[in-house]
Amino acid sequence: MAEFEAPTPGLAHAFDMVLERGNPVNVGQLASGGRRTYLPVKGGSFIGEGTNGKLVGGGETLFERADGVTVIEAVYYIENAAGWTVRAFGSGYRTIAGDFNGTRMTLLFEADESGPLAHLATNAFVAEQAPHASTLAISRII
Amino acid sequence: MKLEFALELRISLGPRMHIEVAEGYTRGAVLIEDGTFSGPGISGKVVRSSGGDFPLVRPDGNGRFESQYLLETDDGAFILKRSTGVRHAPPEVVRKLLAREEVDPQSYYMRMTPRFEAPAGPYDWLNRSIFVGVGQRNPDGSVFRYWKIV
Repeated sequence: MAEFEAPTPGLAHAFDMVLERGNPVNVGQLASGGRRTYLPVKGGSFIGEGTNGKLVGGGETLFERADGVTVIEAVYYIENAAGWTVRAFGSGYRTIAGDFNGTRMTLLFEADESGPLAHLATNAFVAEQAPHASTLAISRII
Repeated sequence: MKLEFALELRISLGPRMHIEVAEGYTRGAVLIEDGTFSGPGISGKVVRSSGGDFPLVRPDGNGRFESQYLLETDDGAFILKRSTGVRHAPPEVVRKLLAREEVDPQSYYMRMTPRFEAPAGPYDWLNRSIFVGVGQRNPDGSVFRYWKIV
């Protein structure tokens, strides 16, 4: 088979998202071996690459596993100043020990194809948030 | 965030099947025939018939892929690999990719975010790390390289 000639990826900081979260909704300890919690998004801001948007919905579903790692599945609805809305969604981990302390996740976007934010759906992203911080730093995978 | 090389997968693909889910939108199904993987501290083979790649292709040929299959390490551990990703390329490049012709790997954006379920033990770092991947489609199969976010 041919040699690997595809580009080595990199990360380029693209957006900062400041999240205002609502009160947690606790489902409790599940038979599948972890604790389920939901954090609704009440608001926030999304800034970068010329976009100045606000959070208009979404939430983070958490599953605290028995090994101490919390799996996070997130959906964020973002509206820009002109009224176009995108949906960011992804998953990752919240860890409090080991190599990294905080939240890291991968994100993809859905956007109206005729709108100014359609390009967001053509790339993949990763995001990082320090523990107890409200800002999620989002980088484009280049 | 930095990237640290984690592993490379080389897989050969079976016949491609198509499901036209809406006019111009196709769900592909490509089953994994064979494969190997290796990286620092980890190596093994892809488990035959354990899954495949199921891309959703839009009318312009770009789209998203979703794959799922099993890896077996050389010391006998099974690891479930799932991945979602994005492919974006000019129309002529897409046409060649779909026809399985030789394409310059620099001419298209193909990135994925694999995630793993590994047993407790030497590979459980896969269960708490996120990864960035790059894919290269060759006429006889695919090569993926994954980097861990550190």
